[in-house]
Amino acid sequence: MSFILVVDDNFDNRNIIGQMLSFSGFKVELAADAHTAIKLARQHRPGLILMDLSMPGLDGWTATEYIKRDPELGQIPVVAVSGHVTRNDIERARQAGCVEFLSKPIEYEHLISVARRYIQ
Amino acid sequence: MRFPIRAKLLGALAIDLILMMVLGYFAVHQMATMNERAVFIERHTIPSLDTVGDMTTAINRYRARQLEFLIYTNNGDRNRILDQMRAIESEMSGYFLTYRSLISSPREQNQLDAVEAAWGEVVRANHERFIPAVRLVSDGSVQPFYSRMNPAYDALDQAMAGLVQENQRQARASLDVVAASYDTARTFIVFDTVIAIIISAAIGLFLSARIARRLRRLVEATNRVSAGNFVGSINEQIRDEIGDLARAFDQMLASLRHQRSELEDRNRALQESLARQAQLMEEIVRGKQAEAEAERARAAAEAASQAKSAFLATMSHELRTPLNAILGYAQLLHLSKSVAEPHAQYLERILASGRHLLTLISDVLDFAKIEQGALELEYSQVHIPTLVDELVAMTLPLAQRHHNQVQAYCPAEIDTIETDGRRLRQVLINLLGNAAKFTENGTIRLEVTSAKRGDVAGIQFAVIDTGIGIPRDKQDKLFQPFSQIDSSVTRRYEGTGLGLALSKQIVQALGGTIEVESEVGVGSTFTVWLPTIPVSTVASSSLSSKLPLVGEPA
Repeated sequence: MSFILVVDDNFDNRNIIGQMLSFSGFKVELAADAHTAIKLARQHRPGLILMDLSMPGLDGWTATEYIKRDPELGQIPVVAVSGHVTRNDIERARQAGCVEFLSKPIEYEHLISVARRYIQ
Repeated sequence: MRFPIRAKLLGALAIDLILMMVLGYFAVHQMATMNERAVFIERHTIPSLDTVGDMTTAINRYRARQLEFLIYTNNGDRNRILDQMRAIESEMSGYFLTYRSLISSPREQNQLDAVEAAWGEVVRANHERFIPAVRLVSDGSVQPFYSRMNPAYDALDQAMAGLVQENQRQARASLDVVAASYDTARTFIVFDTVIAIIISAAIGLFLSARIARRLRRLVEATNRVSAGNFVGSINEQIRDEIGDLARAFDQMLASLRHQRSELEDRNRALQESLARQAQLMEEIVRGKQAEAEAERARAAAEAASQAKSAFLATMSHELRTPLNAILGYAQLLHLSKSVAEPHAQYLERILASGRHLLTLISDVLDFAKIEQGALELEYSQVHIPTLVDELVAMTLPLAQRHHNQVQAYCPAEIDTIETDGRRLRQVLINLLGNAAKFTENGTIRLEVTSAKRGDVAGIQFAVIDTGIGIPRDKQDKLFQPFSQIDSSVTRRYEGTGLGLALSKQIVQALGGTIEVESEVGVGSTFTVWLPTIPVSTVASSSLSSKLPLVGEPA
């Protein structure tokens, strides 16, 4: 079973999502920034990426766009996870290539149901 | 009566011409008279006097023959002299004959007759007495015979003198006539010329003075006009070229007056129009300024609004981040089941309060958006049966917590409508959540029906509960912000107090209505009606259908 890559610059967010997914039996890798996330993705090929949007340095929108344009990584589904819930933010995420949008705070049931859609 | 100047000048000329003609005629007449007299003198007086001269010569020769007849005594000479005498006699007869053709008056006739008679007496005395007497005398004493002839010759001379006198008298008369004619002609010519000159001068002076005066009036009028004074007219009465000119001038003047007044009218109208235009321009400028000010105000308002939106978005994000940690860790603790009672209940309270806080944040954000008119609607095709299923699924946990049944009614003909699915869902979740919160051991029912309001086709969502109900006097306050019936209810049932107010705003934005019917202790029915023909055709991005919002709280 392939793992899920969780990208978030905030330790609590990263930790909570990772713990929730682990609790439900998913394998998880954590990344504190988008550069690390892309490096990990290239090395281990995750089955799903949960991408925070607002991050210092390379932000989630740009990183998703990069991943989607990459011939090797393009097939990996990316789900946006953000406290930015305005229509503009969601629309930008969709245009960058995100398949779904998860708003913070994270509800356990929703997170798990989304993860199950992409990881068997 | 019309007399052109040419006619007047021709008239003056005609008078002169008539005078000239009269003068000419008279001069010719006088000259004819003089000529006639001259011809008379030439044809009559001169030949008459010539004949008289010839006759005198012949008479003298006749007398000389008589003397010769006395002197010569032989018969031969005497016969020759007698023949000569007879020749002179016939010569005289010829002269008389000639003279008779020249006679011009009875008086002359008488004189000629007297001469002829005296000549006849001389001839008879010669032949009857002188010659026979001379022949009878053989000696030389014939002198007395010759002397006896003297009376006859005296008579003849006298008669001849009378004839000459008569001729002279006639010639004098002719010359007198010529002199008189000359005098008359001279007087007449002088008089006539003077008259002609006077008449011409008078007419010329009169006409020129008159024309000059009239022309002067024209010039004065022209000067007046050129100075810009169009008042008055020449009023020329005489009908000729100048009169025509003056009348034309008057007409021109009238026309100028008319045109000037028209021009003044137009000028006035133009100035009024210009004034109006200027006023209009001023108004436009003022309007433009007002517009610009309005634009500036609008831009400022928009900037303020954008700043507010940005602030709200940031606030929302910043509030959600710590809340995520709180709710996240609480959920993890709850999942781990490592917290024992009564602390597990505290954990539940943390989760409930956190979720409530999240709802508050969302509602405040939405309400702020509505307040500043920034609520964006996104129309898309919404499949109602699916929505109903989702709503029931979402309502079920809370409803079951209070031991309620959840029912849904959606007839087969209800299919897809065009509306903002996310906002409709938000409204219905709010209504169903309220129903679940305020009902215990009862039923929560969602009924969907087609419903026309007037001519507008629409769809109706009724949320019916058998809960505590709302007192009639509180029902009209229900849709106002922060108007939950009392604070105790708020504490007990966890509401933001914004939910219904927000729902009403959203439904109104979608062109629909929201109503409530309720009785205390029996239950409440909230009815949302939406038109199925959208009020505005806002472009649909179909975002919500492609990217479902998972975990978006009620």
